[in-house]
Amino acid sequence: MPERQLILDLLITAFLAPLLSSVIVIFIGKRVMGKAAGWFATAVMAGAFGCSLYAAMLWMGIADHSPILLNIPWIPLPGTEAGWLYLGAMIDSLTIAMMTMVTGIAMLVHLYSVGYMAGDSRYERFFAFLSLFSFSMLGIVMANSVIMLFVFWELVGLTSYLLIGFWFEKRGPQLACKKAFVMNRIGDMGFLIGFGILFYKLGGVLLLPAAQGGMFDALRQVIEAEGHSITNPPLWLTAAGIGLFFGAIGKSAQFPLHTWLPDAMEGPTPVSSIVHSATMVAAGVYLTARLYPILTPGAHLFIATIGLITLVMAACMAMVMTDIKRVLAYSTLSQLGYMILGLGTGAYAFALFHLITHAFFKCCLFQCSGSVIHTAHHQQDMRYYGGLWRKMPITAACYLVCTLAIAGASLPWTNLGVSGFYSKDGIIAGAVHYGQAMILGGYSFGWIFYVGPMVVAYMTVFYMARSFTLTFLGKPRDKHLYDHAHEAPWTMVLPQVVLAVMAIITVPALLPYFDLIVATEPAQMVAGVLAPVPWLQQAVDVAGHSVGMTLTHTVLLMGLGWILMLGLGIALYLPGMKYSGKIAALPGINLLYTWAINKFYFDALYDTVVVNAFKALAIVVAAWDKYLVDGVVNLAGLLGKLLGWGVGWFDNNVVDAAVNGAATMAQNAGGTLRQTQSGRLRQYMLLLFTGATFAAVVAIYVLMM
Amino acid sequence: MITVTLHHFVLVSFGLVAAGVACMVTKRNAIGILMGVELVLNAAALNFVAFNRFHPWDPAGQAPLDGFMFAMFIIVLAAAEAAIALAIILNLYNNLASVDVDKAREMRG
Amino acid sequence: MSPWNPGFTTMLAAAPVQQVTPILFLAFAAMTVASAWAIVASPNIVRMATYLLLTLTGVAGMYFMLGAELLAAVQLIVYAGGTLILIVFGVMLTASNPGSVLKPCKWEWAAGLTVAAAMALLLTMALVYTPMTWAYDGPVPVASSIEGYGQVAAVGRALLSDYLVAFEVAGVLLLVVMIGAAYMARKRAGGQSSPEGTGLKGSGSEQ
Repeated sequence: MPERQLILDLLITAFLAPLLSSVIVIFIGKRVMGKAAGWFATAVMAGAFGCSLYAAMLWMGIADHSPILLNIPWIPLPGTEAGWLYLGAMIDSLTIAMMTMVTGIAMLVHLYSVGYMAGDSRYERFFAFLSLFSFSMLGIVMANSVIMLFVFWELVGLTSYLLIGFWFEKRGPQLACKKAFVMNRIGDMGFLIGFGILFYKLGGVLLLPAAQGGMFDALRQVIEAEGHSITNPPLWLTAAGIGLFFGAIGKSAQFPLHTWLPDAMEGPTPVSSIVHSATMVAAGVYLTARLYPILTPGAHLFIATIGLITLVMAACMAMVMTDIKRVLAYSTLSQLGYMILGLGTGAYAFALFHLITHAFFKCCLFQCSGSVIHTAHHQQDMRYYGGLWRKMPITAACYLVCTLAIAGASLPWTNLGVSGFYSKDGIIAGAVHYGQAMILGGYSFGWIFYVGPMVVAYMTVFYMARSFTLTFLGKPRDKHLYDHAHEAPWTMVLPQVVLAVMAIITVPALLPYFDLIVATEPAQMVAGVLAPVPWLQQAVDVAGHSVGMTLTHTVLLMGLGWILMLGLGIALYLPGMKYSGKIAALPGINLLYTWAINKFYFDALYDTVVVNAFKALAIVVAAWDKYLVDGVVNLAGLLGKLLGWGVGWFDNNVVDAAVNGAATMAQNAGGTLRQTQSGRLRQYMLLLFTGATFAAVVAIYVLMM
Repeated sequence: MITVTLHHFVLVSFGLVAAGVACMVTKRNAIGILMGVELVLNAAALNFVAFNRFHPWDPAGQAPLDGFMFAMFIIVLAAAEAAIALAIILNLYNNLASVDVDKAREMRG
Repeated sequence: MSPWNPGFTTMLAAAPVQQVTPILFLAFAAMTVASAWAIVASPNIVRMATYLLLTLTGVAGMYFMLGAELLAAVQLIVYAGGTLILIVFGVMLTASNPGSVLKPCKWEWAAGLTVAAAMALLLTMALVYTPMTWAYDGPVPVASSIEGYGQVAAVGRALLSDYLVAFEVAGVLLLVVMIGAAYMARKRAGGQSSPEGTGLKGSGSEQ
């Protein structure tokens, strides 16, 4: 159909436009464009957003929502059934939703960067990297095969490395970007193991769409051929699922590989706002969502557990941080934990919806903090802030709105609330059902799966209120900083406002995001390759999403809970850190406080175990290289030298001696023989007759014989 | 009485040869060496003639003259050779102011 | 009968063939060999020349005894009267200090005599060990086959018939020798034909 082709073309344009702008800005940005490079990149990104928006509108208009496929054969695989590895695009509702979100946020962040990065010496390069990052993220969203997704996955990792380490003169960013990249890579190792298992089993078919002839159909055939079923899932499928999820652990900074995200705050704030809130860290969630049909119950449990641990741990750490960006970073970790937990417990739609809403409000929060940091001459410690709402009212209002969004604010006893309300509570609902189903299934610790998120929801409100209060409310604690504070330029304020508005209005009733996501939900829970699991099926009823939410509100009093925690946070921190300091000094809390402020000693643990191990290995290898390998090489050289000496000795003493000896012999012989040529006639006569006598003797003997 | 046969004449020529050789080898005077040469030639001629005399021949035919002629030519050549030798010796004497053979040592290795 | 009598030759022809008498042979042999060895022993060049004369004369006598009268005559005329005179001329022209005597030293005498002795010994042994049973011991006729002309005619005839080539070559040789000797001994441009003009050291230093 022509509309589908148009949609495909629009989205391909939106996908390639940032690449083009990045390439142009890289090559001629500094020399030709100057400051206009930022505007150029922003304009291109706006164009991409416009394309995706138009494509979304078209998509909503057409009736056929089967995935639009564009398969480009890329690498031939002789000997496999598939024959090729494919690049291309697979466009379904989820893709449309993600595209509009990513291009929109990228456009706003580009605009924000025009203000934030003004005056930086490498201004143009930042936009090139930012556009390249957007291109890579869009590649992940549009990927039609696991291999293409992986390619852009790595590209996203690379560009985030470049962006985090943008101010590479300083030691902090140098270390942080390396850490981010390496931990991503560790996650990718697991990804490749999962990928390898699938590749081995499928022989190369790695296309994503569940509908026709893709990976899931092939997997289903293989599983049935092997004789497995839902009650007896194949171990390799679980392993593949967990392996692929490991990539998400690395990319989305989940429990074991989470330490890079706080350190990544060394990068400029626009980077944090796009990469570490909205897009890159969401890529892991997106991957898990795309591969949802292959996850076995075992994989689901693993995913949910990881999400839960991350969730709780990050919230604890966020409560004690004093750096505003660190607070937001741990908040991101915690919300990502929510999303992963949602996916693990079966709340597929709500997890992805939370991804989109979180993108909006977290991006806005980072940008507000960026405005404050920018105006405070890069002072990030909240203890020096205070009372800034008078100087920066718009920023403060946006921050407040987004705090409400992340809290899941709603009018009590009604179903009306901000975007975060719907998404977060949906996840909690899913967790409740999952936990209860587990208890029913005989695992008595299942309650942890819903108690945890609920407690953390309260903690989230608390620490966000804390950060808001410390920054904007109360009395100014640093007079100099306060005097110089001013509202940010319009290029920075406008995106904040837009995002704050988006954070409010992204509710299922107003914007079609939720519907788009639901449209791509796998037909039955965990039903892509296996028959449906009964107790997971109960977790969220596809038709009745509202059921869970009502249950949550009634039981958990979330409607009141958030107001309570908000008030508590504000009240406690209004006078600054005074009372919180006293509370933190209390005996039991003191220990928790110490653990939390030291980030649960994960960094120290990794440093000792992993980094030092590698350093030791490096020393061993270097010693090996220096003493053994170089020793062998030097030995060879030495042998060569000895051989040279030997040959030289031979040449000098034997060959030369022979030659000289021959000459000397000739000379001596000559010297001896020339004495016969004495010139004396009588001697000649003597010799003559002696010779004649001998000749005569010989002749006579011969004759006589 | 002893019959004088070939052996006796040949022995005489041997004695002359020995004398000539001894003369050639030991004399320092160049003319002395020349005399040695003459002695040897004489010995050779005597030898030829002796053998000519005692060669078996047919009494009816011509007496043998080979050795005789040989000796004749020896005498001729001896004379010629003595002339040349003396010319050389005179040259030597002109160059070196002496006929001492030991002084003519320039051609040596 | 006197030799002027024409029958003298006939008488000689009819006479019995003469054997060489041992005493005569011994005398001539002794003269020859003794003179030869005297040449070797003598340090004086003039005495050497004299001894050479005696040697040549002795050899001529032995030619007579061997029936080669023409050769003996030629020996005396050419050799003793030509070559020897030439040698004496050479002695005269190269005369140096009359008191100077050129003597070799002892070991040179030893070497020379050793070689001579070795050669003599070798030849003697060859002679002794060679059977010469074929040697003709009989008398040799004094006259030639041509009546009235004797040996000279026979030799002349032989020279011009059997030995013609050798004869002619000898003649050419003598010509060449004459020219060569004359050329070699000619007076040089720098006046080097006399010993006073050589500029070399005086000739009184030899011993």
